[in-house]
Amino acid sequence: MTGMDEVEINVTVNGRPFKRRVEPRLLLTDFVRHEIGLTGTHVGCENGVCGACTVLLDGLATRACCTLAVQADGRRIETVESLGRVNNLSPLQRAFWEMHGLQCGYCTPGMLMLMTELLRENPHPDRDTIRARLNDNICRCTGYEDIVNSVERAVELMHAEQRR
Amino acid sequence: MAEAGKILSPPAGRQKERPDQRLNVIGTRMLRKEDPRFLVGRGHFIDDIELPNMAHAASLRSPHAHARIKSIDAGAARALPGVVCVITGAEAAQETAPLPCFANPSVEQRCLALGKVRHFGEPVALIVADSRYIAEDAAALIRVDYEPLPAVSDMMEAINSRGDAVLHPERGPDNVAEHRNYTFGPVEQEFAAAAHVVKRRLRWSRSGGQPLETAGAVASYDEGSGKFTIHVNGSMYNYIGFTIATALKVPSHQVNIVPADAGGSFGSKLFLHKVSVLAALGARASGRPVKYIEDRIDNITASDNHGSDRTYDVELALDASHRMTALRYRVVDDYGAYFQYGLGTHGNGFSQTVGPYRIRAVGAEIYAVFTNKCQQGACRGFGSEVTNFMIERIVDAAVDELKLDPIAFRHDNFIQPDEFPYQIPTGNLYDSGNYPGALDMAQQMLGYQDWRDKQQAARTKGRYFGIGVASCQEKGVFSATEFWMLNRSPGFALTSSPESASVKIDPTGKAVISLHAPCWGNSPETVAAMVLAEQLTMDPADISITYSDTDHGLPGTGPGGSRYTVMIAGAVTGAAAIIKEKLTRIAGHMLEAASHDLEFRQGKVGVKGAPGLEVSIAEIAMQAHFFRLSLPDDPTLTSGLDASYTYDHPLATLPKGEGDFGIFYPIMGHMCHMPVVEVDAETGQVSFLDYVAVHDCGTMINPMTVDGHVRGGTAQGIGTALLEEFRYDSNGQPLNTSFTDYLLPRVGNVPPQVRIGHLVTPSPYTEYGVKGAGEGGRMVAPPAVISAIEDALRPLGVRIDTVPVTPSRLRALIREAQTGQGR
Amino acid sequence: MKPPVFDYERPPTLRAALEALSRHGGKAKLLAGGQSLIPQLNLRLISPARLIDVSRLAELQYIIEEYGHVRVGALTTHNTILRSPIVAANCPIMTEAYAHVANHSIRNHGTIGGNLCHNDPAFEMPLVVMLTGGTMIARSARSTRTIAAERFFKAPYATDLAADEMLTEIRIPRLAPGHGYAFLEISQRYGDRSLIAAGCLLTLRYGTCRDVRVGIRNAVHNVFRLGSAEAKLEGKTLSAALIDAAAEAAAAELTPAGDLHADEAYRRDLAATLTRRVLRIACARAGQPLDG
Repeated sequence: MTGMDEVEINVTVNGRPFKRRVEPRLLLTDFVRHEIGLTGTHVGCENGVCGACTVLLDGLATRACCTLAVQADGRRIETVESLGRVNNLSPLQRAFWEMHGLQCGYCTPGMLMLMTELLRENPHPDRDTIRARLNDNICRCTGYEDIVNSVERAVELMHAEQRR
Repeated sequence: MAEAGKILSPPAGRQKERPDQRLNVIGTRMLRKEDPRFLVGRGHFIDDIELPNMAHAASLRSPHAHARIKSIDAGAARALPGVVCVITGAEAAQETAPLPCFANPSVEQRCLALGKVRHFGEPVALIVADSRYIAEDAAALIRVDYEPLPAVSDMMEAINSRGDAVLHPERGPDNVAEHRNYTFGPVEQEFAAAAHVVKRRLRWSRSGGQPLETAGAVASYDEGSGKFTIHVNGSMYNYIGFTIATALKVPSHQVNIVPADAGGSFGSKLFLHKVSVLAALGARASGRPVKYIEDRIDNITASDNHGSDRTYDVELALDASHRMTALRYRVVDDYGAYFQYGLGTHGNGFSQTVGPYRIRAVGAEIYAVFTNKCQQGACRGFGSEVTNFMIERIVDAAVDELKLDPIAFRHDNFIQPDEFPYQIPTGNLYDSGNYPGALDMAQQMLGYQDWRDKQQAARTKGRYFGIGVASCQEKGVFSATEFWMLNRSPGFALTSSPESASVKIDPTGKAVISLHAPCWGNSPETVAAMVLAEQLTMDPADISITYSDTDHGLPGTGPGGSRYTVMIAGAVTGAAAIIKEKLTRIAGHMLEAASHDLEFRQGKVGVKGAPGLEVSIAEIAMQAHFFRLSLPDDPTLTSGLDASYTYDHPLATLPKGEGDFGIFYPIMGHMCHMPVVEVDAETGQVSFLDYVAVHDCGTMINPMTVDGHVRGGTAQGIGTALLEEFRYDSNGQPLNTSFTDYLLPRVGNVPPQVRIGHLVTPSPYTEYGVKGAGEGGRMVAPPAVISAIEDALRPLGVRIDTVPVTPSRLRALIREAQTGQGR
Repeated sequence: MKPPVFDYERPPTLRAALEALSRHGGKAKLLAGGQSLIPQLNLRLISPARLIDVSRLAELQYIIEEYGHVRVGALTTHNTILRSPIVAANCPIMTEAYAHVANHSIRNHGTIGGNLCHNDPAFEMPLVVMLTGGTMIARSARSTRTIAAERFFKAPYATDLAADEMLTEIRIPRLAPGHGYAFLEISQRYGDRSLIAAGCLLTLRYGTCRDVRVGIRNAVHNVFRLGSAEAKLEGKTLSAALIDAAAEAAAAELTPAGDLHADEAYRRDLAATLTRRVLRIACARAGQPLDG
């Protein structure tokens, strides 16, 4: 019963190519978390409502819990691990830290990836634009306001960085 | 019986660190120590744990609300390739004892249902397999022969259930888990003398913490030593963790419980007995490490942590001058299928059952009933958020019926700032407060009169603006007496609820603090580092924090009941005092100065009035660790630089008997919320125009994180008021088992800005005067929001007695009012 | 939860996909954006033996304006359509309705074809296609046929497609310049499944309503256009009272529908309210705002 044919997939995750044989039913969340070992992508609702699992698939914000690993074959995935490191946080991460945009940290990677996509397509989003996009994902801790403030702060930090 | 009022001889405090001193770190907006790991996706959440050769477990959920298990055939499941083992309830009962229960008499709950299932989703069998996918495939192959029993879904019906509809027949002939009457003060006399009595029936529906991360455990069993290691995202392991060992029928030193970062809890991960025991059971049976993580359906239907589910019939007595004198209520509370904390959630309510008001007497009749639903556990507020709702709703009802001003009426009834410490009729003490100050601040921040003017203008255009007011208490720092004081007989009448901290300074002067309870999304690391940095004048960057497992743990009760920050501050202060004493002693030797001439300054110990005459903590630490022979030959001066301190409850007394519970929840925070909403009367939709939240949690260690709690708690309270409800049909079948239908607030459901005001009324009993702040938002937002909606619809005469008030429900109330139907 | 076992294939062309569908028929499911299908798999509500992944068939991803129609390839994603100037210019009600379709991340992958084939009674696009008089092109290995919207949406979660057929294109007749349109929806959280949604199209000629189309999605039944409301308006001179009458007719005509989130009376009330509101907006957009 588990002997269904595995499928070979080639996926680029955070710039690194991976070749794996996977069951067709393997979810992209499990692939990223447990096959590749990047556990920053989290699972919340398991049916596409909360966005904790948001990654970028060919640059597009994607519910990894509603995506099969086979669907990522030949594509590029970006996860939270592609952003800055602890001693070199990206402007967006830095802004979340400065503006208290997280509490338990569970929704945070999904929020960061959702907003990474937004800031790439629109480097100057206003507050309403940020809130409209933030509607995608659920945060149970913050009440959202500090996340909106964080994204606004990220815009400032990004521009400061560009000016340097 | 306790007599309400100011206490003339207040209890002696043991506050060492005064709130009025000059502070350098405490009170600053320090960025959180917890954050960097979360920001880069390197938190240590339970599902992030991978152990070699680990297997994965899933449970077979009961599809019935109530049924006898006649037989289970797991043959096909066991034969499925990739399945390691399948454990049924009967098999589990051979190896486990019932799960921990604090009610007395206790109610038997098994990790896997034994003989009967009592709610949808209750685990019936555990499947351990090479992957979670296979475990779920196998679950689908298990054949269970159920004999359905009558299901009880309605709390009122539960009171009169008989026969097969009784969930726990060994406990009595009906589904009443407890029926108690409490009288605090002269209730009958006050009602007899009342000039006005206001009555309401109120309904608070069942909701829950529903953190984005479910509960889970990863367990391994070492056959050589016979020892379990259980990683779990729950709390209280260093408090009552030994009861997990009891459930596994092994000595407690054979179980080591290791905490994980929790992806939110809001109470729901208070004590995770079931997932811990199931993972451990699977590990012992399979000989492999086992990961058991609830999926969302498990978490919604079987987490053991649904919130309160109450119907109140409440009466408020007032005298001729509109002073509230007494409160009397009958409450039916649907506890679901089990009763793990007994009536604890009502004990919580009794800690602040008169709210911020000078109500002299309280009568409470409580029916706790069993129904075929997931059992109650903890949910931000632990029942006292419902008490707040009840009080503020009946206060609003009085304002409405007697045509009073909501602000003036509250002012006239508040306990005044000079009346503290103030004892309420239940015996609990309010340590300090300034309720008129909070109300004034909120009114001013909101521009209350401006909004009243805008409201008038809007009404002339057919628009409905409403201004809500709620003044509520946030009880902080529970005493263990509340675990049993409502039991008919106490059972295990514990009185300790300590918190510990261990501080170690290494030879280079860097510090590690070990906490003995977990990180729940609050900021224990930031708090601990800030307090130690304050004490030792260190740079907080030189301090890191770890979490002790039970093998290395000291007494730690953990987050819950708005206690963790207060207790960590106490524990770290205590440990720091020991370290400071040793640092001073060694520094005195190094500087050839008397201890009393020394002071701490910028990470150094120096001679007062002699700049430059000083040694750094790093230099002292090096001496302490490696240069024993340079120090005085005193056997009390041992090598190293470390200390542990266990901080007990700062102010608690024993119950004095029925009618006086003693002091059990005295560190009293306070909130005043004023939301402004617009109601679309045609669609029943509510939107926020403004929101002011004034919070008083005494001295703030970190105002940034306090603000975060206020905003987050407020959002949850808005969810409770408008969106969230676990729905069951009349057969006990759950109607919303995913986040598609159990509605957590999204960004569009909360105010764009919650304007926060801080009033600081320090506690005279805690270190630095800190009070709790974790639950307040959710404990006040529901009555505040409902008050605003009712105010908006006052021209129509709409009365709201039920939460959540969804668009459909609100529209129904408006329709009734408009067509003159209903009341 | 995790999906059950299934086989998977990703045919390289439409022809190959149709052949695969013909081979596996009712046992296979087409995987387009997966935004409705995979949640169902995750909850093990369905267990197809095979998924035929058509999401990358570029030949079905297009938006073309042609011969008075907008032709949309079935595998065009929601966000592509939402951002399409062709759609905004020729069928603005679709653009407006798209603001209510799930959320951005889901719209990144969800396709119009998948949405229409799922035919969730709360979904917006089936109503838009009905109102605009759209047609569906369905292909199989054996044939191609054109299905009018009225016949396509057979029942909640069911369409007229045979087991071997695939929806390949949606054709929306270009709407007349200057027409009035509006789409409104009520949900408890923005982007959620609607409690109720309403749309309308109309044209005003010298103050007289022509070609009025009013429709509702009630999230429970397979309801669309409300003939009695349309009849109240068609050929009449516009007035606030007329709109009220149409709104009452809409409420009266709507099949009562209650569920977890909204009761029957709510949907009846809201049918009237939303009908009134969409008509007012549409009239204003058609050049005749009504006072009050």
